[in-house]
Amino acid sequence: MLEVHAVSKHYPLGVARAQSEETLLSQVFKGSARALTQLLSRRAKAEPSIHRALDNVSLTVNEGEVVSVIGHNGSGKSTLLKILSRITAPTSGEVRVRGRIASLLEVGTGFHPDLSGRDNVFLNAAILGMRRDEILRRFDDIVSFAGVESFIDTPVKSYSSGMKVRLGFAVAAHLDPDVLMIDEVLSVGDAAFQQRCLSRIEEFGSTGRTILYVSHHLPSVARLSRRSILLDRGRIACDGPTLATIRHYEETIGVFRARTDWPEVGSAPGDDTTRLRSVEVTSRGQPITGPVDLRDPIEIHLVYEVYQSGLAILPSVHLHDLTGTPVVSSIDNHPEWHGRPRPAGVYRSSAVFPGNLFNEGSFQVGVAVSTLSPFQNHAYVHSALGFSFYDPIAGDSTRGQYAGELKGYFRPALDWSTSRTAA
Amino acid sequence: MPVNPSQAHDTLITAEGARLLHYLRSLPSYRQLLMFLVWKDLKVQVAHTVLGFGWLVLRPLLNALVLTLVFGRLARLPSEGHPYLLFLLSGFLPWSYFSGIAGKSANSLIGNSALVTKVYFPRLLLPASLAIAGLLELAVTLVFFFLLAALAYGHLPDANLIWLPLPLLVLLMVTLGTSFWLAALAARFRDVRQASGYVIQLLMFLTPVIWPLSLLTERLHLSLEPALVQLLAGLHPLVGVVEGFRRVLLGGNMPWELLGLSLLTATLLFLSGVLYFQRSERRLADGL
Repeated sequence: MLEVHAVSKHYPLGVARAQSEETLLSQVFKGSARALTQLLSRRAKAEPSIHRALDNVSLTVNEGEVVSVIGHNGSGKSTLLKILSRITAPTSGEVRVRGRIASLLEVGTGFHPDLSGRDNVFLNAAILGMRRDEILRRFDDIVSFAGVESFIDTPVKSYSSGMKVRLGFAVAAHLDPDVLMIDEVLSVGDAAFQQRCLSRIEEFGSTGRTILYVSHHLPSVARLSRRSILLDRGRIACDGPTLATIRHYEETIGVFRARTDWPEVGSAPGDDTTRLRSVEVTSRGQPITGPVDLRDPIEIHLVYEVYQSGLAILPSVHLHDLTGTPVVSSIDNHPEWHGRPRPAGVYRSSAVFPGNLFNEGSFQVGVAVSTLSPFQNHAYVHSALGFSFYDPIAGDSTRGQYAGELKGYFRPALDWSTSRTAA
Repeated sequence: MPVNPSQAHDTLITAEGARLLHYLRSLPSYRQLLMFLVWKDLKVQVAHTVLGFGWLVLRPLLNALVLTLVFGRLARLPSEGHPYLLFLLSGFLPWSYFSGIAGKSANSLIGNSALVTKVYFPRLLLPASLAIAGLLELAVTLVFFFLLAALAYGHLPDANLIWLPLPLLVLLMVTLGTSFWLAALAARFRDVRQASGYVIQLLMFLTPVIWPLSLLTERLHLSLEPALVQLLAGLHPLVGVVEGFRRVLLGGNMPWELLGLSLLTATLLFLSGVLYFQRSERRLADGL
């Protein structure tokens, strides 16, 4: 059981800079300067500007409950987890945890490159709170879970990154706490390994243990937890059933933007070779004003100016989901200009995505203008546009008469055929 | 986390952090992790070196030879009638322990920031594990000292040897106290890490490592009572440590007043170190 009561965490603004460059001398100077100004002005001490990483957050996670925490970067997810795992103290408020806690903010915490896999298993397990006898008992399981049996006496520095991640997760997977807190661990490793990790976490949750799962990865959130909490700028924006929370997240925070212009040439993305002027998404040639019917095609238009003649210019679009996971990239390969040097001037390139291609959900559009050979990016914007697809469920979309959930980024119209092969 | 089945695992996290008493009471449950950290420190030291543990002896010996050449042969510093190398080593070995551990401790939190920002355990374990791992090196070098003294100089330890635990205890307290202060300060003020190396180096010359304590009263023609000089010197706890080790290893009258005073200042240093470290611990991760 986990009780968070009115927890706030404030950082003085520019804390990263200040902390690393803070020196004893500067402290002394600052201290005397402050004392002097206070003495002279006799004003009340001015409130220093602060960043509220967490602002009065309260929540309760019951025994045996699996709860996810989602939100943008900087929403306070990681700060919350750092407070819960006692890495940093809150500015105010308090937390009560009943039971043995383990937190996994990173796989392979404290791995030492010069030590063997065996030594690192012991060290990492001890750091995560396992007792010696527990480690000895589970050692073989850990090694076989990671699949690194033949390398176990080799220094970890010669492991591939995948092996390191597998070994790190294998140790974590054999922890036995009452309350487990996990942060983004699934952002590493290949798909097959991620599946194993998810199964392991599911197993964990099904044995009545309390899990707090912090992630960007919405599909895994939906799979692991029934309840999710959405954090937005340090506050709880939504706390409820996972699917409702995810929908809320996509609707409110997934930024809708159908057009972006850069009227000032100097500040437009790009360089001396080329600069972007504007980017726009339309559907059937009409500007979009809200969610797009997923049966309709969409067009993405890039307007850019090329300053140098004689270069082969390569425009491209890059769709990703709200978490930044790439969905699809496409380059302008139309033979009219592809690979051909073109004269300076303003160009407009458009890409048409057919209807019945994407699934429901929110997408962000990144755009780039590059030169082909030698390849070089000249202008790049990670999130120039944002929009979402919805399915009106009118019966003629690719979901047919099925009304349930369909996973994935795409839901293309495929040719299905069925023939009766036996009576 | 490390678990003691008889104990209820209720954790309370507040802005003030753990109470000192609560914090100290939680430490015993981390002794296994402490041992693992000690074992890691030792293993990392010898990993991928041809000589392995041989470096433990070689490093202080090479340093001592250089110092003997400069201060014994060239500068001809007095050595209380002992061969200069033995005289030097008897003070230099405990000194190396102190300077080595204090120097490493200044970096112990910053160098382990990957750990400190990712998982909780009492951070006190990081400098403490260094100090414990260092004891092995000290033991090995002391054994080497006895061998060298017996084989090369025909010098055998006398009954003073039974007092070894006393200067050793003071040494451990001074080293831990200094390490806690330096580790916590360096995590907050990065210049402490830079400065501590120089300060420690300078400190060696202010400690009777290369020169005998008697030099203070004889050469400087101080008008003070020799007993008073000793008393003042005792405020610098490493003076008592070095003098204590010297009498234990080379014989002579044990400097009881000096050791007693050093024990007092060392205890103060140690306790204040624990207190300051514990107080800064809850904000450590924010600065790393």
